[in-house]
Amino acid sequence: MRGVGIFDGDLLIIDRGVTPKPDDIVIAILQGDLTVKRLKKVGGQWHLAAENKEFPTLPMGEGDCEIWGVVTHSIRRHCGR
Amino acid sequence: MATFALVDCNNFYASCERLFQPRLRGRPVVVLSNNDGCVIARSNEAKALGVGMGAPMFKIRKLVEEHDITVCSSNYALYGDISERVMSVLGSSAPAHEVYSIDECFLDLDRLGVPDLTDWCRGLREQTLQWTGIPVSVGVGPTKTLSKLANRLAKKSAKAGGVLDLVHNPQWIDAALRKTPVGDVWGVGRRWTVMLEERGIHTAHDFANAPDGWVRQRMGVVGLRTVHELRGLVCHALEDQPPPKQTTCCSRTFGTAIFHKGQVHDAVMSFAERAAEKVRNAGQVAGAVQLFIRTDPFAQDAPQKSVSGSATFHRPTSDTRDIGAAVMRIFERIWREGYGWRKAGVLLLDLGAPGQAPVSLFDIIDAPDDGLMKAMDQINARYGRGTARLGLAQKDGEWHMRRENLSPSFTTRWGDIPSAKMG
Repeated sequence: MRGVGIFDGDLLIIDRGVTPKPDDIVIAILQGDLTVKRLKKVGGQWHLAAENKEFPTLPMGEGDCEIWGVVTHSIRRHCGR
Repeated sequence: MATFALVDCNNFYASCERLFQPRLRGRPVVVLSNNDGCVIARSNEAKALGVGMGAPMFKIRKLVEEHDITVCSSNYALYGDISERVMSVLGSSAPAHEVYSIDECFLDLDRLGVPDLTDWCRGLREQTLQWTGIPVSVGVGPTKTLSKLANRLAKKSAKAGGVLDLVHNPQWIDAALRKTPVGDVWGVGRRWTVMLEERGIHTAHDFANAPDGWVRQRMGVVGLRTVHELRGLVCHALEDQPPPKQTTCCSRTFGTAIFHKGQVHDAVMSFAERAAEKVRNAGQVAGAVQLFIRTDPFAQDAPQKSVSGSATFHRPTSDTRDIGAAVMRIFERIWREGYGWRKAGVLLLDLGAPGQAPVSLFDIIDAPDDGLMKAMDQINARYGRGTARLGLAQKDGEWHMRRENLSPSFTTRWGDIPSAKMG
């Protein structure tokens, strides 16, 4: 998710009270894992997109994936101690 | 008409375990009691496999292996924190609420004034699920007892969709009472269930129609209140201000039987510290302290012993130094060699507000409050329990509980914050 400024090790603030909208950065449940994705809506169909072009954009099917919450902020650590 | 709702979290501990471990969704999950003893929570999938409530771990081991059931040690740091989130959502939605247990909350919906209460309850369920991730069921009734009964049926019936309102559908009350075994009525314990069953009272309906005089004679005013509540007469109001505690206790069953004096000593001193901390958190002071240790009643071929002792404080206190010193003296007095001790506890009694107790003529105010306890509590609140301690006990003694499958403290420890994949 470097394209949106989220890097490995960043701390994310997730708001579950926000109803997800297209173009939100979200935490999605994919194959049992929590995953950071960009939410897209293409022709009435929800998709989970990665900023990294190497990952495919996935259409959201029934049941097997779900939005856990919306990412509202990210915090980066600048000190290794 | 009075309108009470009981909101109950579905399979609460199992739901908490799933919240940050989505892999566990749709799979059988059980949570074990302290020391990984018995099953205290089951996901629906585990219930369907026939795992009984309260089943000891050794009895279900085969089932666990066959069906790949996920077994979790109880993680009260996680459950307590998630519970607070759920209760704050519920509390902010209703005119008044009473937190009844870690996973149950009564709401007073009398003055709510919504056109369709079932709709409103469905909305509350959805909001609680979205905000906290915890599924709940809502039962509504004209009394607390009936709201609890409605909740149980709301959970059981697929048609209800997690909500059952007996206030605006009074025609369902009769059927609801008939469907509820008397042992599942709020306030009817095992002993009463046996007694009632023997006399042909099998359902809540039978019980509600029992003659007042008979109930009163057999079960006293407490039983009579339950019967009246089943008939729709309010006997229990919402207790939104719980009465201040009279006692507090910190006790644990050890991971294994302990023979060594130093180890039991470390355990009881840790309990003394924890109990003192609890009393300070409640803004109270203790007038007396009691210590007990006992062997394992289930180890039938081992010698059995249970010992206890107590002490009173001249000046009521919440200072760990006073309480620790008293517990140490009691421990030295009651300690017996040669037994495999399995459980111990420290009780603080005669709790009250500081300054409430009379100061006697001969009281020497020898230790004016030096702020040490306050400083210690602040450090521990900020950096985690047990960061600053008095040198009373070793930190990781053998007495610690067996918790072999403990999940991380996802919401209360920085290092345990769940991580997400980048993708």
